Amino acid sequence: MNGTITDILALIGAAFVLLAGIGTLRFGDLYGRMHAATKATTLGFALVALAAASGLEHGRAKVLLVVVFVFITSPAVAHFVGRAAYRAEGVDIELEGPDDLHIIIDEHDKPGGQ
Amino acid sequence: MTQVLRLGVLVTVWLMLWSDLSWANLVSGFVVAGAIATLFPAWNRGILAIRPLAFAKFAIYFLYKLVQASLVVAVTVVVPHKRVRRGIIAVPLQGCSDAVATLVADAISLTPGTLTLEVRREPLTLYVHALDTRDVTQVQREVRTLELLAVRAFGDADAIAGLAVDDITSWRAE
Repeated sequence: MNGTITDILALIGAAFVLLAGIGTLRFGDLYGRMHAATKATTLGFALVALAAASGLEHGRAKVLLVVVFVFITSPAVAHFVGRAAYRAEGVDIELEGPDDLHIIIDEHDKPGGQ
Repeated sequence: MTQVLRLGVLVTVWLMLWSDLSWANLVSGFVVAGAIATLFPAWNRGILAIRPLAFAKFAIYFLYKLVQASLVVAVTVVVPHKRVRRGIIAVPLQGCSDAVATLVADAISLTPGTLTLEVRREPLTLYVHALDTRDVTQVQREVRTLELLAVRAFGDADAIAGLAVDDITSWRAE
């Protein structure tokens, strides 16, 4: 019974990570890719880790701690990639809606802009 | 009280790393926690408050949103989607500490359709990339909901008092 729960958690987690990977390939622009790469992989990883924790004899707390750290680091990584991408040149960013960030970021911040 | 809580957090992390509850680990945990608290003054800055009930509310809401976000991504991958107006929206935060703002910014990146790109102080504002900006206030309201829950769980007394004046209901009425 315990083994079944472990398997199901691991399978669902792996499926999320797989779909996130496909999404990262398929989505049009950088931010779209990041939406896929940040959310679904974090949940997918958490589920796989939970499966590992439920299957382990020792060190469960350690695995749970890893989940906590990933929840802290994963959005931080996304934040920095997104921040850098906005300033970099040649990055594929498509926006149909409003862009409030443009107002506060000087053209001087961009490497090519003057 | 705050100091005790801080040491408690560090000792808990230490014990979880060892995954083994013993006197030796407990004592060494307090030694390491004490060293960190002494050597890194930044660790002692500000007030650390955790309200268990409010924290549980925040955690449940956040996990619900994370699952929803992952399902949205999964569905979008399987079923080809129509592009809606993607954009970057400025969302003002109302008087939360740096630590709580960090938490909110992190949480936004893990909830459906939003991604934090930039944080500015004075006034404290998050710049959020949203997949759907047809209703800007809807996006701002979602961020606001997270902020309210986070401040109620971790904010100091002043921040909570600020929330009472600027309640979510008045935000909704705008």
